Amino acid sequence: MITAMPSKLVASDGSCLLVFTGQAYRTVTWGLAGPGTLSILTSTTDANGVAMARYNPGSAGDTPTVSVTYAS
Amino acid sequence: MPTLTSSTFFTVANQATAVETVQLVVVPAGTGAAGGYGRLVHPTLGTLDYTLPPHQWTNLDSDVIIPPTWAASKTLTSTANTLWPGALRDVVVTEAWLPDAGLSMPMPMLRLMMAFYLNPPDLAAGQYVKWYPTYSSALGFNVILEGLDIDGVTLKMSPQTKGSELIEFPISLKIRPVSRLP
Repeated sequence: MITAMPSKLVASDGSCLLVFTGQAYRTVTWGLAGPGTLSILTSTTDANGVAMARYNPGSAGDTPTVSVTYAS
Repeated sequence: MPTLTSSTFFTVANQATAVETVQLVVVPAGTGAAGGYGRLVHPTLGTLDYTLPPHQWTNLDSDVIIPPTWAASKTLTSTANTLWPGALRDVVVTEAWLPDAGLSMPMPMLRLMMAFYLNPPDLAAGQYVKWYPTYSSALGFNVILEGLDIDGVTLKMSPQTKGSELIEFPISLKIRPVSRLP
């Protein structure tokens, strides 16, 4: 599950923290389809199964999609 | 002495992968939650635009309210009063979200606020959380997040908070301004 914090609406001068929750100690691959940039904070889930990335937006009106690929 | 040899083969299979996605919507700066509800900016974790503005706050109007400091000493015939001007760092601002309307704030907002509180930036490197209380002031400040209380207790959690997207408890964030942003 990916949670966008604080919400899926991102101000063009702000950012959004994306939190993936899955199994502990697994490698995950973050992906971004659309404008903006994705800063990967953790590419492996921690003991709680959490990995994080930060999305920095492009311009207003964009609808980027962030994905996480992981071993199921 | 004879030598016995045994061997076997095994196949390393590709593990199945799964993909999860989330779609975001970029809105213009200064609209919606970014238009006057308040904002915190963490140097690593990014921006927290309040989904809801605080219902109450203390020591803040159009600027941080800095009270003067008085000291009184008894003398032989009376009392000597001494006055010092206060400083920005003396003040703690509290933002409070109350469950008056049934909820105080959404869970993702609280979780991000907890992440900001639990991961303080490196003060020795001059990094601070930036705070823009746009619901009351046009100013911005470098701040330290001193406390985060849920229902009056530091980071109190319950099945209600864990299992819901909405928080019914009052939440208060204690903020100590360090300097004004240019």
